[in-house]
Amino acid sequence: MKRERMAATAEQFRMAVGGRIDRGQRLSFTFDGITYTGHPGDTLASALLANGVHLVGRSFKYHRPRGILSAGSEEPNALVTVKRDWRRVTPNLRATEVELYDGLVAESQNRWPSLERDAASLNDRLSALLPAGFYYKTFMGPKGFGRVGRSAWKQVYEPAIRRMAGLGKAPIEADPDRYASRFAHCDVLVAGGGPAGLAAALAAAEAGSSVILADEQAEIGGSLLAETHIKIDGTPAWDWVGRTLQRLAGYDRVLLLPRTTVFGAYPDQMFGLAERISDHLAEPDPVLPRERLWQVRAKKIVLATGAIERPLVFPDNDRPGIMLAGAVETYLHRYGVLAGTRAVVVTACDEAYGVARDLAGHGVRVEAIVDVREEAGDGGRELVRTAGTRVIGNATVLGTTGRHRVSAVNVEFGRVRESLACDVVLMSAGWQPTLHLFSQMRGKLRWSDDEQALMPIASLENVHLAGAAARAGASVRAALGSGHAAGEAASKASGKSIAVASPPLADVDDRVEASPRPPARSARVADGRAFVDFQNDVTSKDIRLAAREGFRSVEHVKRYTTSGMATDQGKTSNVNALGVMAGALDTDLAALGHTTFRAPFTPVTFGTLAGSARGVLFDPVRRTPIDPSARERGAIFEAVGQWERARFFPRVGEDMHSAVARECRTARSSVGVFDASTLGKIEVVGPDAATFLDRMYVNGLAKLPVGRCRYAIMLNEAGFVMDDGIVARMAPDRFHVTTTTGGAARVLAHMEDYLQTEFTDLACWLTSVTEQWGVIAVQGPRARELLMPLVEDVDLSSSALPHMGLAEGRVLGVPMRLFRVSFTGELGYEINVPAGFARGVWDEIAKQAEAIGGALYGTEAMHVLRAEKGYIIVGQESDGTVIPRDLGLPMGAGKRDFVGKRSLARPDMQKTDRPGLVGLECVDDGGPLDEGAQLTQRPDPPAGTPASGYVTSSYASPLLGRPIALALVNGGRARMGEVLYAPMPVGARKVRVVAPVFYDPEGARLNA
Amino acid sequence: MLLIRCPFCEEERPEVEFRYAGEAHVVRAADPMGESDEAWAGYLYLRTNPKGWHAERWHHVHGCGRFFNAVRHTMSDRIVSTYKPGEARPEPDDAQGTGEAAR
Amino acid sequence: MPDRGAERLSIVASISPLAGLTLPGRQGLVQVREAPASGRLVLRAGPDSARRLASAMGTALEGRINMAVTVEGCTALRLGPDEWLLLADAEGDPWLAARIAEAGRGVPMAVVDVSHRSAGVLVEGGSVEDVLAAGCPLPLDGTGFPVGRATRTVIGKAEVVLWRQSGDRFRIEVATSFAAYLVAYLGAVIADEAMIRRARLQPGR
Repeated sequence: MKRERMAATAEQFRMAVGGRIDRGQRLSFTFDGITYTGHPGDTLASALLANGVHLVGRSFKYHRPRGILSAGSEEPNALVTVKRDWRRVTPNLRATEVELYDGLVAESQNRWPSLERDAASLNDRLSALLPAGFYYKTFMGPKGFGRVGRSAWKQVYEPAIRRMAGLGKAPIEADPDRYASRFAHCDVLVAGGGPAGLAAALAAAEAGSSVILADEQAEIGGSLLAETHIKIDGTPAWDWVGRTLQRLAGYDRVLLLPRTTVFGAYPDQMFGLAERISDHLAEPDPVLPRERLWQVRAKKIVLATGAIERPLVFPDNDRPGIMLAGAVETYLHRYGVLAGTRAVVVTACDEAYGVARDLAGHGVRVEAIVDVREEAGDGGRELVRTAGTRVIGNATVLGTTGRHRVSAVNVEFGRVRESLACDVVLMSAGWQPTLHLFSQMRGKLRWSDDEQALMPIASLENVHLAGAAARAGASVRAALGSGHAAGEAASKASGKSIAVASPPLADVDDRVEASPRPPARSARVADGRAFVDFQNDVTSKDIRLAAREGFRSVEHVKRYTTSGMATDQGKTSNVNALGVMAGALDTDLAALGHTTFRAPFTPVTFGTLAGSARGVLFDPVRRTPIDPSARERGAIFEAVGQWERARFFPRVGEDMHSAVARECRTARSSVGVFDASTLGKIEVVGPDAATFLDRMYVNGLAKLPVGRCRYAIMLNEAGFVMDDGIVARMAPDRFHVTTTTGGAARVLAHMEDYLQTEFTDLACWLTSVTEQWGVIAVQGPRARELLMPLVEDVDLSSSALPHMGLAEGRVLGVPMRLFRVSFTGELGYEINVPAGFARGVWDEIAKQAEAIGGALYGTEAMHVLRAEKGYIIVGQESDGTVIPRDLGLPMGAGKRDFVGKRSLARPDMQKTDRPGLVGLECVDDGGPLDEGAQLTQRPDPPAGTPASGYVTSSYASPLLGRPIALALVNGGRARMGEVLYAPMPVGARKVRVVAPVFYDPEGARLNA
Repeated sequence: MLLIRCPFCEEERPEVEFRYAGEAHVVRAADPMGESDEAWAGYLYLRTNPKGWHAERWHHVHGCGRFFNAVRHTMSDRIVSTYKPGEARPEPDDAQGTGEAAR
Repeated sequence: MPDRGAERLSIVASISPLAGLTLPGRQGLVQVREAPASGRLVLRAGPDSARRLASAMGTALEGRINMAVTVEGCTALRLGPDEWLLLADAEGDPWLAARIAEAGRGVPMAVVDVSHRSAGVLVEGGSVEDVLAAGCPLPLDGTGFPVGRATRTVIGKAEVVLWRQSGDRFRIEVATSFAAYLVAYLGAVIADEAMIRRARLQPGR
C-alpha cells in the first residue's frame, strides 16, 4: 500500500510577497510520498525549499545526506526521479530544473529503505576504506572464479559495487513518448537569455540577422529574473525583460526557444539543441512530442551562457542547507523562498555580502559573514554596514555539524575557535564563466590570475562571448553592453549590418559592480573531508592522494579520482579540483591546464537523439511492387537488408519446412514463380559502355552480342569477389546489368568511382534502374508453356531464345525485357516490366501458373534450388577474401585488363591450399549442418586446432531427400572424397567432401 | 556534421549527403600487369595516414553524384579546400589546421 | 506461332507506388498529395552534347546545376553537371523521348526511361518549410531554396529529389520502395508539428 502523507506545514518558508511565482494558483506534488504544495513558476527545488525540505538525496559513493546546492543546471546533488506513470519514469533529473506541475510525483535516489534511514550510509563510516582508486587497489583477486576463469572483479565485486553506488534506476519499459527533430539555419545563434543574451539578440535582430535565442530555463531572462534592484532603460529589470521578449517576438526572423539547452557544438558551426516541450505540463497530450532536437547551423554564435558559482572547499561542506550564495539569492528574489532562518555566509568574494544584506532585509538572522580572505573586501563590508552584520575576516572553516541539515559552522580566526549556529550556509568562492561550448569548439582555456577563472587564450572565429561568460562577475550593465556589442559584431560578421540602436543601459544602484578577486586555490583547507566533486563524492584528500601516488596530468587525476566525471561533468567542481591539485603538486594553475569539456552540456535523453527514428520509422522498410499480392497470398516475409522479401508461401496446414519442400519440388517438376524485383539493376549507356563493362568484370563483355546475357563476376581492386550478376546487351551502346540485392548501391558507387576518376576517357553513363523494373522469375520445365500465351512479339523457342538470350516484347500488353536466365538450374525466364505494372502481371502469371499446377516460391526455396545446383551467393559463399578460382569460376583470360586482375597474379593467389568451394555430404543420419560450422580433420580436435574450412550454406534438399551443404575447404577440390568433421556441442558431425553441384551437372535442363 | 563545399554543385552541403572514399591522388597504373608485386601492394594497401593535412576523396552520393577531392586536417576536421579530380592538390599554409591562418 | 487467343490476354493497368497509402495533411499546415502522373527520363550528356540537343529541348538544358527549367510541358531538373531528370506532363510526354532521340542521333549521351522508378509527392501549404526541415538538412527558406531550385538530398533516411515549385509547394521524387517510408515519415512530422503548434509552444513563430 502506498503511503501518502501531508506535509506538516504548508510552505512555511515562502514569503508573503515577492518572486515570480503565481500565488493565485496552488499546485500539489509529492516527494518521497509526502504531499506538498507550490505554485506555477516554481521548480521542484524551490517548492521543496519553500516547504523547508533540504534533504533530497544520498550521495553516490558514501550515501551522505545531500541537499540543494544550486538553482540551475549545474546542480550536482539534488537528483530526483520523476514518475508520470508506470512507463514514464525519468531518473537523474536536477530538481533545480524540474518545473512544478500539479500532481508531480518525485522520488529521491540512491537510498534504501528511505532517504532518512539509508542502510548504505554505513559507507560513510567506512570511507577510509574507499579512497580514490579504491577499486583498482582492493578488488584485484583472486582470479579464476568459475568455469571460464572470469575474474573476481567481474563476478563478485563489480556487481556489488554497482548495486551500492549509483544514481536513479533506468525505466524498464519502452519509452512511450514521441520525440521530434528539426534542422534550422540562422545568422546568429544566441545561447543564453540573460541580460547579455537578450541584448545580443536584440542588436542582431535590429541589424537584420536571422536569430535563434535559446535558453535552458522555462522563462527567458536568466539572472535578471532574480534581479529586484536594477532598472534598465528606466524600467525595472523584470519589465525590461518582458518588453524585450515582446520586441524580439515581433521580428519574423527571430525564433525564441525557452526550455532549450544548447548542449553541443559540432563541426562547421552546427549546434545541438534539446527543447523540452511537454515535461512541464500536468497532463500533456500523449501524442504531443516530449522533446525536440534542433540541429542548428549558425553562421555565428553568441555565448551568453553566464557563469557558475564555485563552492568553497572546507570539511563537511556537503551537508544539506549549505548552498551557493547566488542560489540563495535566486530562491529569495525569483521564487520568494527563504532558504533558512539563520544564516552563516562563508565567502571568498564580495558579492555574497550583498546576498547577506538582502537576506537580513527579509528577516533572516545572518549570524556572521565568514570571509576566508586575508583581507575582507571593503566593498562587501560597506554593503552590510547599516545592517550591522558581523564580519569575521581571515577565517578558516574547520567544519560543520548537523545530521540531515547543517546546524553549525565551526570557524577559526586568529587564535579563536567558534561555533556559529545556523540552518543555512551560503558559500561563494567566485565565478567561473560557462565556457563549455567554447571548449567543445576547441577553444583553448587557461587559468587567469586576473580573472581568477579559466579564460579563453584566444578568440575563436565565429564565436562571440558576452556577459558573465566573457568576464566572471560582470555587472548587469557590463553584460548588457557586451551582449549588445556581441550581437552587433556577430551580425556584421555574418553580413548583416543595418545600423542598430544604442545598447540598453542599466542604472547602477547600490550593488557592487565587480568584486575583488577570490583566492586562486583553496590552500587553507583544514583536514577533514572537504568535498570537491559532490556528485561523485571526491574529496580534496582524494586529489591529494592521487598527487602523492604520482599522478601529474589533470586528465589522469580526473580519471583516477573520477572528479568531474559525474553526470554534471563537474560544473561546480572543476576549478576547485584544479586548485587542490595545483596546491598538492605545488605548481601554479595556469601551468596545470584543465580537463576537456565534452558534449552534452547537460544530459540529453536518448529519445531526443533518436527523434522519429524508431519503430516503423527506425529504418526504411523497402517493399517490391509485388509485395501487396504476396501479402494477400499469405506469404511469410524475411528482412534482407532494408528489403522485406517473401520467404515462403505456406498453404493450409503447412509449416515452413513442408512449404519450402513443396515449392522446390514444384519448380523442379512444373513451374515456380518468384519475385526477384529486389535485384539491383544498372543501365549502362554510351558509345564506350562495352569497353567500360569489359574493364569492370572478370568476364569479357566487349564482344557480348546484342540480344545475349552473360553471368559476370565483379572484383574489387584487391582481386576479391565483390558482386555478381547478369550483364545483358540490349543494343550496341546499351546494357542492362543486374547486381545482388544487397550490392546494388555499392556496385553503382564502385562503377561510378572508376568511370569518374580512372577510366575518364570513356563516354558512358550509369543509371540506377533497380526500381524502374519489377522482376518476375518463372522457372521450371513448364515455364515456356506458361508464358507462351501471355507474351507478344517474342519467340520463346529454344532456337530463337536460348539459355542466356534476351528479347524485348510485351507480356499481357505490357512492355517487357525478357531474359532467359536461371538461378534454379531449370529452364527459366526473368520478366522485367515497368514497376507499376509488376503487380498486375504477377497476379495474372500466378493465376495461370497455379492453373497448370505451378506454385509461387519465396527466397527460402530460391536458396535451396540454387544450392542444389551449386550456384553461389556473394556474401554467403564468399567472404571478402575469396577469388574467382576459389569458387570454381574463371579468372579472366588474355591480356585484357580489368579491375582486380593484377591482384589475381599475386603469389598468395596461386597457393594450392587456398579455400575452395566444395559440396558436403552428411555421412551420418543427422539433419542439415549448421551454417558457419567449422570443419576439422578429427572429430575431437584439441583447442587451438586451426579449422580446415567452414560450412557456407546448408539445407535439406527435397530433391535428394537428404541434407546438402556448400563449404569453403582449404585445398578445395583436391580433397574430394575426404572425410571431415563439424564438431558441435552435442558431438561431431561426419561429412564427405563432394562436388558442389548436386543436380544436373551437365546443365541439360537449363537448355531445354 | 561537416559542411562540405562540392566543387561541382559550387555550394556547401551537409555531410550526410556525402560518402568518404579514401585517400586522393592514389593513381592506378596505366599497365597494372607491368607493376611489381611490391609496387602493386603499395597501391592497394599503403596510405599516408598523416597527422595534419590530408588529401582525400569524397563522393556526393546523395547530391550531384560526383567524386571530388578535399584537403582536410586530420586533427581539427577542418576542410580547407575541395577540388575536382585531375586538379592539383592545394597546399594549405596553416600547419595546425586551426584556422589561424585563415583569419 | 503459338495460339494466342485475345480473350486470354488481359491488359494490365499500372499501379501507383502511392496506392493504398494514406497521404497525410493538416488544415492550415500542409497537405501531401500525389503529383500528376508524368513520364520521367534521365538524360546524361556532356556540355557539347547538351548544346546539340537544344533543337529538341529548347533552353531546358541551359539551367544551372541544382535548378529546374520548364519548357513546353517538360521540366529539366539539373541534378549534376551532366545529369538531368526530365519530367514531362501529359502534354510534354509524347514528344519528349522521340524528339531527344531525333536530335541526339550521333550525339554521345544516355537517355534512360525511369518513369516507374520514383513516386512524385507534392507537399503544399504555408508551413511546408517547417515540415520538411524536420528531416532535410538543407536551408529551405526562400533565400536558401528559392523557387526553381531542385536537387538530390535526403529527408529523414530517404534519398529524394527536392524541387521547389512555388513559395509554398515542393515536389519530392522518391524511389518507389522508399515511398511508404517517406509518406509515413511526413505523417509523423506533420503530426508533431501540428501538436507542437496546438500546444502553442513555439513563441516567435
